[in-house]
Amino acid sequence: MSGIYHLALAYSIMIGSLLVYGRWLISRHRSLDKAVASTIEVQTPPPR
Amino acid sequence: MVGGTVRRGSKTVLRELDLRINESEVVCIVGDNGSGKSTLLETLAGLHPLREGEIMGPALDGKDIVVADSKGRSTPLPGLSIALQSDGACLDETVIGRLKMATLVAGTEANDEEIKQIMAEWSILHRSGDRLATLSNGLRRRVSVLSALIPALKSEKQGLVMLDEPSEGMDERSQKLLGYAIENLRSLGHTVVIATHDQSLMNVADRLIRIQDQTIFVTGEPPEFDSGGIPIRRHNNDRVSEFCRWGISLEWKNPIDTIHRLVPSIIAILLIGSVGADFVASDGLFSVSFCLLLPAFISAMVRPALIDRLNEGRSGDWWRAHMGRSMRPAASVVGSSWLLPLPLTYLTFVIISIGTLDVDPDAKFWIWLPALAIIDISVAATGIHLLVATLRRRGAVAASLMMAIMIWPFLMLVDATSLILQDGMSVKLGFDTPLGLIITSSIISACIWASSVLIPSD
Amino acid sequence: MRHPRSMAIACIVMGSIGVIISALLGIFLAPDVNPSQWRAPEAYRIIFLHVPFAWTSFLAFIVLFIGSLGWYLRRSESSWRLVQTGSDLGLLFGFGVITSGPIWGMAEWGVPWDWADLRLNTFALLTAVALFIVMARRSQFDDDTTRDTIASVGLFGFMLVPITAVATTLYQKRHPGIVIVESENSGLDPVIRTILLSGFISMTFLFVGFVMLSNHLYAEEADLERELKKLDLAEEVS
Repeated sequence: MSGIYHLALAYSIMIGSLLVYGRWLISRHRSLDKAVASTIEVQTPPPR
Repeated sequence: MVGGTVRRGSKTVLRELDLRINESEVVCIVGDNGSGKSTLLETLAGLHPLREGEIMGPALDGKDIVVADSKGRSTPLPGLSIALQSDGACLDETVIGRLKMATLVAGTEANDEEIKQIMAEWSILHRSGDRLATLSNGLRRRVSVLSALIPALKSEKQGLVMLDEPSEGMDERSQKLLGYAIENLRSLGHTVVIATHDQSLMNVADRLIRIQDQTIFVTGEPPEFDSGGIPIRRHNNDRVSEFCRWGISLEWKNPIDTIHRLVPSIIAILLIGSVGADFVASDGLFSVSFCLLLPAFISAMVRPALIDRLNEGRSGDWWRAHMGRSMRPAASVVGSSWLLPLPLTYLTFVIISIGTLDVDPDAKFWIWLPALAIIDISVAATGIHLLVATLRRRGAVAASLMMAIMIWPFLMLVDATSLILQDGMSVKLGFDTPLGLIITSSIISACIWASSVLIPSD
Repeated sequence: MRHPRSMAIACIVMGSIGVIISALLGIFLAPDVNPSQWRAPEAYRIIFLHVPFAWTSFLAFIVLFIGSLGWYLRRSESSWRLVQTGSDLGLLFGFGVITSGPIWGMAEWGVPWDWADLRLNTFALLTAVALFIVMARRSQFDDDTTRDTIASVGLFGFMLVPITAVATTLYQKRHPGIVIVESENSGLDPVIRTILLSGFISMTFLFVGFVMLSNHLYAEEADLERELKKLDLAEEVS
């Protein structure tokens, strides 16, 4: 057994977890921008 | 209270309050729903941390002590008896048991006859042996209020009585009795603080403290009262033992903690028994010892039922008002598994027929020692459970994640047991001797316990 | 403000590229080990990510500890950001360490776990504490009481480190077994050392980028929550 499958599994887990975290940061970034925009819209009084 | 600021949740409820409550005064805290009446009363009792400021209380020697401050210092108020809005009692307590215990904890010696006389006046004597769970809300409220009034009424020394919405849920007759009792307390020299929206109680008060917009507006004048040097009632120095008695008596009435611990342990014993002694021993004495101690270890790690009892009716907060920071260490000892490790270990010994294996013939006379040390593991595990029990949605967190550290004290006990099974007991001390390993395991458990109970979580 | 985000994203991008390069170098360029002396000669290449992960999880736990102490002593919002970020990253990198280590252990020594290994067990305990904190932050009400408890848990987690050091050392005396992670500083091939160093540096850039971005996002989320609470109050009044 050369351990190649163990290597592949370990690398998949480590790199995969970094990717998952990165995606989560990106989705927070996007939903934050949307939430800020909609809050500003609610706070801005409509034109007379 | 000087410069007191209190937050509940993300809201500032009280901001930079200065308030002085005089001895032998009756004060009512009033305000709209949600204005912070209960918060102010409970903060004065030391139940909520201060963001800023401090609360000073009278000490027994006449000087002032810090009851609470923003740096985290906390001391129980001398002479306190308190009735929280949510009763502050576990529903498995009996009426007479609750009143006697509350009187003792508050430092008053009142005999059964005196307590029963007051119960008769308040029309609850016929329920004296019943559990609180069987009473109506109104009756439970009477018991809760009496548990604060009786220690003061029957004491010759000054005390502080705090009542949160005492008349809520009470019938008219009980409300009248409450009014008379408060007048009586004032004439005896006690200080009474009541959070209420009941007009009849406000009429009895010397001063009204209205809470509005995070601050207070005071009306009325403090009374002129010469206490004549009436001493302040001491804490009961046996509060901790009263708490232990309380915990044990509740478990005796409803052994839910024992059952929660016993069931998984028995299942483990049966599973180990089903694979047979030869299979267990196939990997040497270490695996035999591991299987021998595992059921007791499982019982030690279970979440204690005491936590739910302390949550019920906020009885934990009631105890905390009287015991301060000593409550958590005491609870970690009372709530742990004391009775089960020994019998579980010997039961496992019998079920997997360890006696038939190639072990030291005297080993069975000594395995009680590592089994007893599992109690230390249980106390440490209970301390960890209590550390995270202060979270409001405690059902949504996994306290078990914090338990992994208990593996090493357990493995040391397994090592000790395998040495006992192999060579018998030795009284030598060292890391390669059973006694040395057991002591080391207990020391590690003690360090974990100390870390979990001595870091205050407020 | 866009600048903190831009800097953070730049660090993350640079770090990510570095990590990928280090991983590829580890797989294709790192020298082979002697197959007669190693049971799973290819599995050793796990160290090129495992060790940098261990380093960054160590940094993350330091951030968590500093944040817990800061909140516990001063209740500052910036300390709370560190608790949030430190627990997220401690969980992320700690998880990578405690999964890749046993995978390598199974491959090379046939044993997934060593109770006597100080580093592996310390990382496992701290990762469990980080997971607890992450779950608690998501499930509990966000108020001072919850934060106080979580900070206490963070500090408790750190008090476990010396306890674990003593416990594993004592346990190792009686069970001198496999040490899963060898010291990376003793007699390493220069190519291996270089690849490890590039992994360390890349992972540090990645970590710094994550910390900056995470702190910034948590700060903005807190600002947004404050604005939303003002709107809630305005709605109640009207």
